[in-house]
Amino acid sequence: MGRVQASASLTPLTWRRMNAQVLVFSLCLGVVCFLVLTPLLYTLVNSFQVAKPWEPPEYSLAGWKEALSSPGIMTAVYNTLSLAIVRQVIALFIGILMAWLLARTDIPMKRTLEFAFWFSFFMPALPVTLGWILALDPKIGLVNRALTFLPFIDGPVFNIYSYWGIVWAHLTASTLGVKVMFLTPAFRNMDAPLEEASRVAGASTLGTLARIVIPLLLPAILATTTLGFIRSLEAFEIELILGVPIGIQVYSTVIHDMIVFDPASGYGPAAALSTFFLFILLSLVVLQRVYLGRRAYTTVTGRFSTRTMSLGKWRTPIFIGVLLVVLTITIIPLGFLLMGTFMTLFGFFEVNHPWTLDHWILVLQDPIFFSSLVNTIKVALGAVVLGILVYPIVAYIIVKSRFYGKGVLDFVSWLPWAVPGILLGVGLLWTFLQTPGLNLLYGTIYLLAVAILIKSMPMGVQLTKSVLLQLGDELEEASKTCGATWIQTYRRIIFPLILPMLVVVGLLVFNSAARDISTVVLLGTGESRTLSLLMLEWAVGAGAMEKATVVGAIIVLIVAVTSIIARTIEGRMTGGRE
Amino acid sequence: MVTHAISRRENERSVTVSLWLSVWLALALVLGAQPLAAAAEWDDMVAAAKKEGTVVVANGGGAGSEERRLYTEEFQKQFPGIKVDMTTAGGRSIAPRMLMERRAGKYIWDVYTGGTTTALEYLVPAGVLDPIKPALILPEVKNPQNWFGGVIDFSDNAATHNLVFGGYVKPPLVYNTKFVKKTDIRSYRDLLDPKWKGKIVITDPRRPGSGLAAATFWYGTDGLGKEYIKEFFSKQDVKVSSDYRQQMEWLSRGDYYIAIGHHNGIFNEFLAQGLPLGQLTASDVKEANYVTAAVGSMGLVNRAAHPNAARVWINWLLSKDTQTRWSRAAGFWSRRRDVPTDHLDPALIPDEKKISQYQLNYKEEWVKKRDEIVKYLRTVIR
Repeated sequence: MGRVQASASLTPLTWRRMNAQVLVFSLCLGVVCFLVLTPLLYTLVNSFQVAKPWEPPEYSLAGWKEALSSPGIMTAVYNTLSLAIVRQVIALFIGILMAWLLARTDIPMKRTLEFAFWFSFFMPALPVTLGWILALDPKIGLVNRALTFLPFIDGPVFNIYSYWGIVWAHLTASTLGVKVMFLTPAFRNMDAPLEEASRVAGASTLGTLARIVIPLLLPAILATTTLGFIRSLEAFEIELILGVPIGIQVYSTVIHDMIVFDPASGYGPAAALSTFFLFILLSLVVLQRVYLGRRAYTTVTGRFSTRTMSLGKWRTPIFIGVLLVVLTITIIPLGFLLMGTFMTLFGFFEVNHPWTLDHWILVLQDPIFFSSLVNTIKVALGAVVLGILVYPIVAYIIVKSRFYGKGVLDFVSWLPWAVPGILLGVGLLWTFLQTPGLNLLYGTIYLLAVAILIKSMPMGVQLTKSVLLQLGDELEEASKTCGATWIQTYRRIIFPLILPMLVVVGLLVFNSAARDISTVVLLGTGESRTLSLLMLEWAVGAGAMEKATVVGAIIVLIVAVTSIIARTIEGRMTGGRE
Repeated sequence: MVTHAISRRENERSVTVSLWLSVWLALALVLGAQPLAAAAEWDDMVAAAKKEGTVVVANGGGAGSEERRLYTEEFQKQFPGIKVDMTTAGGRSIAPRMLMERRAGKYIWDVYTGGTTTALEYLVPAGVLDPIKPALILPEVKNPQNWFGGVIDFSDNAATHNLVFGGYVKPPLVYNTKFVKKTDIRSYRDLLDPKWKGKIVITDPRRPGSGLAAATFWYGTDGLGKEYIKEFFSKQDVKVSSDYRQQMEWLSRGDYYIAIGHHNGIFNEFLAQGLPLGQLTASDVKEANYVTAAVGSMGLVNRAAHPNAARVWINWLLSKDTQTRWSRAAGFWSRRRDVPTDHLDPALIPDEKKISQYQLNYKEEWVKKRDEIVKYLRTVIR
């Protein structure tokens, strides 16, 4: 009786709104599944395809056997997991502390410090690593040379070409920065009375942090850690430069070798190896969903407020400590990077004329540089616009709706990071070649923008989810009670609240577009070449390594300027919330 | 009677002269008609190419800035109305992409230029390339006498698909002059001397590149062969590197004294900065060495989107003027006999009279052996 009465209470308008909502959500599910699953499906199918590209397809397990029995593969897998776990653990501890200090205390210059952490993430890995080589190379590194002037130092103290050198390069390149980037907004959005209640009950500051703050922010922390761990699994450039010369191979460099050195037969084993790691990712996703599904994590409610905690006499020493961390991950590698662009021969101080402006002049005078720059901006802006439109809707469906396909959408949105960029690029190549309509985009910059949109989806969706999880349902319910449609509620209530995070997402997507190499290397042409592809071309060509470094420095400059602009906009939108 | 005799002789003379004149005229017409016909054909081709408007070039050799400028801007200056869309990448990136595109029915590329390995291992077996000789229009291009050895060279055994227009004699090795004298090594077998143990770095010969080319040379040379390779890698603690630049950095700093399978361009760049480096030439070593095509080969892609523009570009690249500029831009020897070589180290230029002493490493017979060689190398290099 009650149920009949409930159905009778839904007006035709309500039914139409619900159906429109289901239609939009279904469309979103369909598009995302197609864009993400089709390339991955090609990757999976290709793992069983053993014929040469010009022969008729032939399927067997030979690729899997070769992948799992190739020399050194187990060592590469161990190295991958070991490097990923070590740097994620270190970065997590430091990142939580940094984020808490920036968001919940009265540390001075917090916006500048937070921006510096963002900036460290934006710096492309390849040039940054070259900067660290100039500093910490055991033979020519300037830091090592300076330390030898100390009476108790005989030989080089640091060696960037080592296991810990790789960990260091990652921590300073992006691992720590991304932790602070993702966690600080989540810390900031936490309701202050929760902490105050804990301290009133007698808990210490650190005790409150450990027993109240961290458990409440577990979705954000878990999402950040999972994202970071998955990204670590496909880390490539730093390992290629620092690890391969000393025999440290990881799973991505093994895959790279399989494809680059034997493309006629290597895609099968490479795809098989990627599928293997896909299962690890699936396990992580399942664990995260099981854990998060049992708890409520609302911290932003109708009575939300933030108040920062005073650090007292520790304010200045803590500030100096954070500043040192920031300088180490930004100014130092950037300084060495810039120094490298003015070196006649990178890393050689003992040549006749070690310094020159020639590389800068040659780069800035080359017409190909400007065409690549324009392409980069177009691709990046296209990807950002698409990302800001698509990611929040996907995240909303997953977190806030009862849509039947939300579980599938949540799962699918993770998948682009399960496959190394170069294999995803191959999958996208096939997808865009074979799909009517999409093949019109082939060879254009629009294809690159879509590729970046797909590649950045896990990050964009998960970041937006973490913020949406903190929004209480009563905000939406109040809006609907007032008669607003879902679109109106989304546009006027939800979107403004998540906008600061969307600015972060937009920046990260822009950054990905500006520096991505592996995903787009097979999709770019002479007409659609971006700066990152130009950097790669010049790094490969003889006598062009220094010009490649110049391009790397320019990419850093572009993302730095973009960061400042976005940060300024975000600051104006958040107003006095800090 | 005399008058009649004189008239008859004059008549005979005039007939003879007329006959010869006719023959010469006919010959002149025939011979002259060929260049005229060729010129007409060329003009028609250029006109058709301009209507196509673009030529799409797959450069699988990592062309440097000067080369790229030559291939694109210089061509566009000479043929306004035909734009060059060139993508530069390793051959191993270009080849699979081309094959996948074609399988999906997309025929984007017009010309391939780069190393012979990509052409022989992927493009020729996959049927991507057309015979190139019919596309040679300019008389100076298709005249074999203008080319080294009196032939237009190809890497494929059928001598049809992968034209080789450049290369050089690979120096056997380079060394750090602080630790090695030129006279220390007269034969590859001298590298087995224990004093070089732990002091040699080689580009990974298990992968395509100069290291594999060096191993291929050893494999096929009398007096070296498999035994030499095994002894070299098992006894000399050889460092295997996959990074050309890092190899040169190690050599320059004295971490290693000898480098094999080096990159010529990077070596020249380091040498120009006054670093203590030297190189052996093929004539310094008893076994000589091999001739490589480097990135000096080309192929005409079939079912091209811009077939006429492709042919114009190919003929332009193979002309004397362009080959002269290419040789200077790339730093490689051009196989054209009429291209100056004064800017090159004479040791890099093969001696036409002694061509039989070189292993022509870029030829199909050697490229096809590489699977067998790599398989063997994997057993001796740990």
